[in-house]
Amino acid sequence: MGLIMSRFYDKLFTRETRVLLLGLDGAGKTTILYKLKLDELVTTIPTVGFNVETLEYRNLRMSVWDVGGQDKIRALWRHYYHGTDALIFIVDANDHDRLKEARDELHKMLADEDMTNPVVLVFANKMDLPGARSASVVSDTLALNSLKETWYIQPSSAARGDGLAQGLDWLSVQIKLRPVKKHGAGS
Amino acid sequence: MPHRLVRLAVMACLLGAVTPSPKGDGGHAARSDGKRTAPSSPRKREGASHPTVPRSRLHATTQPVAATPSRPSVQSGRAKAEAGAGAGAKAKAASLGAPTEDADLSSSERAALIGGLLLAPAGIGGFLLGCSLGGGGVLLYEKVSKGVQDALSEFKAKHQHEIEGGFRSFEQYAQLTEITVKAPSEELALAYKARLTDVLSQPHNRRCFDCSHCEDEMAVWASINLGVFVCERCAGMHRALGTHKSRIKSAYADVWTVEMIERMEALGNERARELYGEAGRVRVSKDVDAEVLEVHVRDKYSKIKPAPGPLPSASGKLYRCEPVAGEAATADAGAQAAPVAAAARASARQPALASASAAASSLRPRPPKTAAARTDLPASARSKRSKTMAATGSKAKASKLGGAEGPLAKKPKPKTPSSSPSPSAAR
Repeated sequence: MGLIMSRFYDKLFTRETRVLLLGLDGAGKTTILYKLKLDELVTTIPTVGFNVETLEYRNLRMSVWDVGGQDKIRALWRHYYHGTDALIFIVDANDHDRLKEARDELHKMLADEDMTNPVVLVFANKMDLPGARSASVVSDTLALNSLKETWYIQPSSAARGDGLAQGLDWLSVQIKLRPVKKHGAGS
Repeated sequence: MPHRLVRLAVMACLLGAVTPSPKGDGGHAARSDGKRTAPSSPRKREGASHPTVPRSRLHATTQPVAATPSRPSVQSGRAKAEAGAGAGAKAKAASLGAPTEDADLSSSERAALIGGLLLAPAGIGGFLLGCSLGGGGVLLYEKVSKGVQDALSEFKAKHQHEIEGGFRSFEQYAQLTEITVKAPSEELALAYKARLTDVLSQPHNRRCFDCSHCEDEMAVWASINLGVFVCERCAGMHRALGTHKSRIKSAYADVWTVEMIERMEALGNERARELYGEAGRVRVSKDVDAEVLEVHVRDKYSKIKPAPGPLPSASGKLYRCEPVAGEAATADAGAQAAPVAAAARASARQPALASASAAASSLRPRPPKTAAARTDLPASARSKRSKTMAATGSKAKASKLGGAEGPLAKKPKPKTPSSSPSPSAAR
């Protein structure tokens, strides 16, 4: 009965969450966004700009912002930090050369004062490719252990659709654990 | 006698039907107009937005009085959100044309009167019932519509930050019409910028390596390991191959390193076509479906190995300073010594490029606005397939750099390029 009531309660009160989907260019941000949104694999073109979609997942209503990852567009990421509840950082686990670059970007963005302690979900993406590094290697390279935020790394493959649901599960649990953030505050 | 009453009622009804429309529009327009001028003339807004209150005669009209305090609280947000130029101008025009101040009956009062007249044949009781039904109904409708509007404006106010954030940031798009080179020294960066500009201006590099996108739309994406220039759409396909096959960089949105530029200079579409043999020459029409293109690209690059030579470092952290400086000088000298025709061609190309980028940059500030406009639709309206696309959002305006979201918007259904935003429309 309590379960039913809590389900009912959850249904009634969907949490509005602001989620940022960031990562280097070509990591698979847009592909993941539309995989989550439409559950189909879309062929993307490089995002010069941003996409925003509302996803409903486990009584979470997430407005997910997917901002392009090209070098010069990264400078614009900070405009999207404010009021972010969760950060989904996507890493191309197959792109060994740029794991360090990804680390730098991740740490830089989390050091920004507009980033107020978001939940950090890292997708080690493109696990379907033969050269992909394991999640633990990615985690070490990204120095996730040194983060003060709550983080979680999830191996994934947007092409196959693996790991995305698990990642979001973790995210939704974490977001529900946290007090509601007032987006307007401090602006 | 009853006939006459009915006729009277019908006439009143018609009268009511004819007159309320300008009044209704006028009232609404005056309200939004008032909001637009809110900071300068709060009094005027007050008068314009609640003309009903002082004149309320019917019992039901006391409700707006209760409702008024809530309005100003959302007004600032709404004023901000609704300051869309087009809508504002329209509203203003409507308010100018409408006899807002002359009409002395609110729509609820008028409805009450009509209702009363309609039911008047049933006697005084009917009249009262008609009055309350008509007035109450319209009031309810007004309240509900106001509630919806308030919710809308609240949503807008809440997301204002995001909208403005996006707008601000994408105004900086002007930068993306420039090539940015990261080099140890300023002069070197400039020299290499010129070299890349030159490479990009060569006709063969302005035709997509994989499809029939031609120079007008300019291939602004480069595969720095394969050394070829491709169009945006094919760039997407390249990225799907994985970085071990093809490493895509944008000519304008990415920062270039000396090594990358050298690589692109050494290869380029013409040389690549020779180097990569039969497979390298295969091209498809730019109008093929995404699936066909994907298969084509996959197939093509399964047969192609990147040309030998030093591959640029992906992160661009490494520089080859000393030798590169020398090379740059010699290359520049070489370029100067090159046939005049080449120079002429380059210069002929240059204005076109400049005008194209000028067009792009002049367009750029606007599209974010349309994107923002779409962003601030209520979630319900956007529903499932809501695609608030980016940057250069508007499909018609999608320029070569920013067309990103046009095709994206269609992605759910594999799009047919014929219906895709044609960058030429931006010119």
